[in-house]
Amino acid sequence: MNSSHLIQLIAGGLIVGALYGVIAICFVLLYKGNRAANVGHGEIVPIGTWACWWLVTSFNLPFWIGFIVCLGFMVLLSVTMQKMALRPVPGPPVMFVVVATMGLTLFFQALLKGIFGASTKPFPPVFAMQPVNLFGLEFEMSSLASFMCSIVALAGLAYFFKVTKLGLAMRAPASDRQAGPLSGASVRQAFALSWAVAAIVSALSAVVSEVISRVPVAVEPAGVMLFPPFIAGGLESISGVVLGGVVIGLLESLARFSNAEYLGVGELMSVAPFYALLLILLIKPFSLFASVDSKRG
Amino acid sequence: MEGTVRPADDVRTGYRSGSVLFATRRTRIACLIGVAALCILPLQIDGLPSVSSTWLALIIQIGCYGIAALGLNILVGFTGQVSFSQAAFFGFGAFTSAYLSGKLGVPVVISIPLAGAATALLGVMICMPARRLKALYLAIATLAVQIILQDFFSRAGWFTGGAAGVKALPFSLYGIELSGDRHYLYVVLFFLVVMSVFAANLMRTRDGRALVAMRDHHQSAETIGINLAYYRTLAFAISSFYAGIGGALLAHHASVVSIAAFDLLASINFLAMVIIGGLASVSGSLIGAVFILGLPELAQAIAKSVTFTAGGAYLKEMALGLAIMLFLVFEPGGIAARWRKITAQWNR
Repeated sequence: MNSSHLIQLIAGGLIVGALYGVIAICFVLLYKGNRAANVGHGEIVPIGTWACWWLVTSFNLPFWIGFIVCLGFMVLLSVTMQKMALRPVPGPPVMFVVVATMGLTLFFQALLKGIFGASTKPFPPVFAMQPVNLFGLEFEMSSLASFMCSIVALAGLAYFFKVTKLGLAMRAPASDRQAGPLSGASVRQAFALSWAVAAIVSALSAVVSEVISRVPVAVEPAGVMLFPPFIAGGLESISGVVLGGVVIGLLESLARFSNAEYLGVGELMSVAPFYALLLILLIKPFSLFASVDSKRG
Repeated sequence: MEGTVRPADDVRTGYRSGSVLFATRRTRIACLIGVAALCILPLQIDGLPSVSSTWLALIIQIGCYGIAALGLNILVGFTGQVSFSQAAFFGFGAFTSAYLSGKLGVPVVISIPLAGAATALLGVMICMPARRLKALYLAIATLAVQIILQDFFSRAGWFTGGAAGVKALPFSLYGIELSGDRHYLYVVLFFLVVMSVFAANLMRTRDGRALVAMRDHHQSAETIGINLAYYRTLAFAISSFYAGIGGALLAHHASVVSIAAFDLLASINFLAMVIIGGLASVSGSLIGAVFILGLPELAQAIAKSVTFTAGGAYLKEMALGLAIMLFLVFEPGGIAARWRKITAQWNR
């Protein structure tokens, strides 16, 4: 009974962790591309969900049309944001960017609450509800679909950055500020592109996390929860951040399990990643997968 | 950093002029007049209109938050370290003072500095992992600290009284109870003046200059023999000491302390005070506190005549977020830097 419960939770942790990894990739993209830690990026995620929710429920659009429109909207939004809020600060100290994006976060959060109200609203079901039996474990159809989406997104990103010319052109200025542009890669294009890609990925993950896992649309951000994977995985390593996401997801599950079975102290799982984060930084101040360059930061 | 950029005609001819307490004679007089005005303010003299209790409460709050903002400015403005955990330290100070005076019977006069010391100790303890960290890592670590402390507050009912909050005793000195706002203002004013003078003085000492050197170029600072880890810890300790004092003062003013006031949003509020008021400026921190706490009151006064819709409740947060961003983009030195430029223009 207990062990099957544990395995179920571990599987759930993997699914959530993969999703964390996908969202945390956006942080890495923005950090690598712009040297800007967009603290507010977690807040962009609910905007995508709300946009999709609004399209689907008020206009009775089919889900996939709403989704595509939502993707376009997100790209537009984040490129505008980059042009307006972060461009005029040339080569800013990290602190300014962190606080500026925090201000942006506050603004968007309040705007969303003002428009849609502070209560949560249920998303219309997109997938069948009945649980699926797989390897003797019970899964919601939706969480399986979410896992598939995460995997597809990861594979897509890997392909984009490793194989396509555009992806390589984006990586060049990010990895070397001088040599990249010399080889013909446009820095400005890379900047804008990194925001656009981050927007697409975050919109995808937003809709996946909220729609598919049938969680009601919540305004309260999961944004803060994304820092532990981002930091644990190093600021610049995409594979590191995915691993970090999975580890944090598993940790949440284990915290929930140990809490339910032994400790009984309440909402431990939402804080556990932060304890882990401090512990990691205590042992390795530049986190697990940091590059030499980011240590000098 | 923009905050320390001086107007073109502000020429200094020696090291001495760089370490004066007040920049000009006029600022010294203005400060003295300000303190004197605050001393007279609560007096009730027959025949003269006295200030209303809502205004008094607001001024006291500005004082308490201002002290904590000043501490944050020492960390953010002078040392160049972001902290997202000032509200948690502020709350820790408030709960500690309420606990010491309420449960352990320590006189409030002593419990307030004790709360400051306890918060400073907590700050140093938490700084242990943070002292080796740089820039972004440190910012996120303080964010984690904020979340963890927030969680601790909601868990430790014996300490914080849970959702209901905990009652703090009124302030008393030599058996005379100074509970009313009219009396309490003097207590807050005393702490505010002492802490401000301390902060301004700190920047004239070797330690203060070491903090600024660390902010401006940490490699060079290390090269000339500044122990980065030590000074980072020192900045954290001072900053959380200020937060603890401010929180304790607020606790004994509000009489009921509840955990809701010390969340992440409150921490961002503190950062907003520092940025809008003026990074690396003592007076700027206080101006920021006036701005952030006074703005909602002003908005409310306006909103009374214009009926707002339900969405209006979020206008304040939106305005705050926007203000932080716009100040960072257009005037990173905050109101204090703008004021310096305006007066320089005026004096020409």
